[in-house]
Amino acid sequence: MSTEQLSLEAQEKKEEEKILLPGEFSVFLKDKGVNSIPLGNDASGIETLEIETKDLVNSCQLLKSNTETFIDSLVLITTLDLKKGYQSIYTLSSTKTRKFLRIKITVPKDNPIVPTVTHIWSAANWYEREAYDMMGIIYAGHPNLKRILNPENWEGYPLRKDYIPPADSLNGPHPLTETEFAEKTLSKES
Amino acid sequence: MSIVRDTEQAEKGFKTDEMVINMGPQHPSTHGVLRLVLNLDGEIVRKCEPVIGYLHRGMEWLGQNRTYVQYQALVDRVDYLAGMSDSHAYIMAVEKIAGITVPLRAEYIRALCSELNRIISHLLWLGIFMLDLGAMFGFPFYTFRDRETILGFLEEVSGQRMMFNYIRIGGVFKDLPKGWTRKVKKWITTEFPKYVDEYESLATRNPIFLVRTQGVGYLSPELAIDRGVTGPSLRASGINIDLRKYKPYSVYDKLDFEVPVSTVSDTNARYKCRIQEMRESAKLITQIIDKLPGGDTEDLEKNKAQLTSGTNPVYKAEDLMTIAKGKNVPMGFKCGPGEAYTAVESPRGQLGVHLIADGTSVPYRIKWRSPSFNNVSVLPDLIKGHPVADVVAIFSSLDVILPDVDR
Repeated sequence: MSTEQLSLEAQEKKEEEKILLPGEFSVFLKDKGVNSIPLGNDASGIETLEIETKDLVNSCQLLKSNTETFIDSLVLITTLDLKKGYQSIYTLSSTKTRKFLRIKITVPKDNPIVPTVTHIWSAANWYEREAYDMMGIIYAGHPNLKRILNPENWEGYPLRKDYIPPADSLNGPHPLTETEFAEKTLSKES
Repeated sequence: MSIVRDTEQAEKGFKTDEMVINMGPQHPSTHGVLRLVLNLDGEIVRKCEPVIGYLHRGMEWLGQNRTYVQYQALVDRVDYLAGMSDSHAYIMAVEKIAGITVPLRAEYIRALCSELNRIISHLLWLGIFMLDLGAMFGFPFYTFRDRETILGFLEEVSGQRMMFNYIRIGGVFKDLPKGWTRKVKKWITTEFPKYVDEYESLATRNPIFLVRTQGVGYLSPELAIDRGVTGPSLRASGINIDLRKYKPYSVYDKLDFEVPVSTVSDTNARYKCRIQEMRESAKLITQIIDKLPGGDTEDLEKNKAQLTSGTNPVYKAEDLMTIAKGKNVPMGFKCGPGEAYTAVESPRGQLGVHLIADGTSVPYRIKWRSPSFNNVSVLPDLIKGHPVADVVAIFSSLDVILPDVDR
């Protein structure tokens, strides 16, 4: 058992070493003057890199317009609630080169504003609305930023880790007492 | 105020007011509950705004509050017509992060069941599509008859008609029943092609059907890619992207099949692509059954020792298992830390799962990329300028399933 664990740790260390090498897209962006932090390839072999919020629109445009990279489709926008802030994660792909790429943006929790990429890929329109609906990230410049899956008068952002779901009338009492619930929600607002 | 508006209109010439009509959410042809806010100029649709979320069940929230093993049973509900594809995408993501290699036989069984599932989904779509077009003579009865046969096959395998929960972490729930592959092969080679011919004889050259579908709902390839439209709807626009060939997963790189593509880009093309896809799936099923390592379960039991022993065995013993060795996962199965995006070609398009694991038994974040979500987002552009009667035809031709949109 212990030897297995040791070998696992060694593997992880090796993976960490690999991560330091910048990938193809990271090198491309660096050539164009955009700095990025390479995060290596994930378990499914997709190159991942983190860039600063201000570089997002510029680098997306570069990746799309260049004939070598030709990132013409936005596959997915995932949002993530981490301790350091909210993340907006873009999974991109090219129909020509069949390559996938993932770009991560981290924004502070007290001011989660990310520039929109709707004008680059129109698929972003609904993805960003969903991300706003579920995680409360505000996409600056979005043409129609309103809730998409939840009702318009829904309170809170369900996929945040500190979200308290409303009392479930079907499955018995709420885990918190009424006063506890009020305290928690009040402290969240303030 | 009104005087100002009237004079403005008078300057531009005579203009009738647009009427705002609410279609749905409880509309029989919205395949679930979709609400469309239509701006009509007489019969012509000028603007359309889809309102979704009526079937939102919080699949992503549920995912990060359940263990990996508990969530297995839920994922079939994301797209209830293609439960196998849902499970396949999710399980592949978990296996990628956990580094599990699936036995060859299990991979073949997964592909086999997914293809049967594809036929089921397309058959349901075909029946409902014809009904939406106004074929009130009972077309769905023909397709549902054959759908029921395949549902019977899958029930024998998994114990469920629609929510299979058959594909599990590390392999499949259990081996195929004895004699099952022979039965399926016989039905799929002798009877199924005849049935597809029957549907085609009723629809493909029917003049009313052609008038309702040809030249209706043109989807340009540029718009399709920009909006992330996938599946037969994209391939009917002339773009040959099928994840089974484009980025092969499971055993699809070992199989020989064609991807139907059309460049006509209208409703009729989407219909033809799906019909052709059913035929290709039928061919794939026979092919998979022929190549299935160990063959039918009955034969496998007899020949297992022979196949795996000797100096040069045909298969390794691990290849013939249905679940990876030692991976019969307990409830507290832990995974990660890691991140993976895996996608499969579901009957509706690219169905992906973005899984972020933190090393505990509960996913940190699970995000679904459902094909219908993107496919329905293109609807306003397709129906602009068409009469109201075409709204249902075009919407139906995109094969959108609302639980898949809302998740």
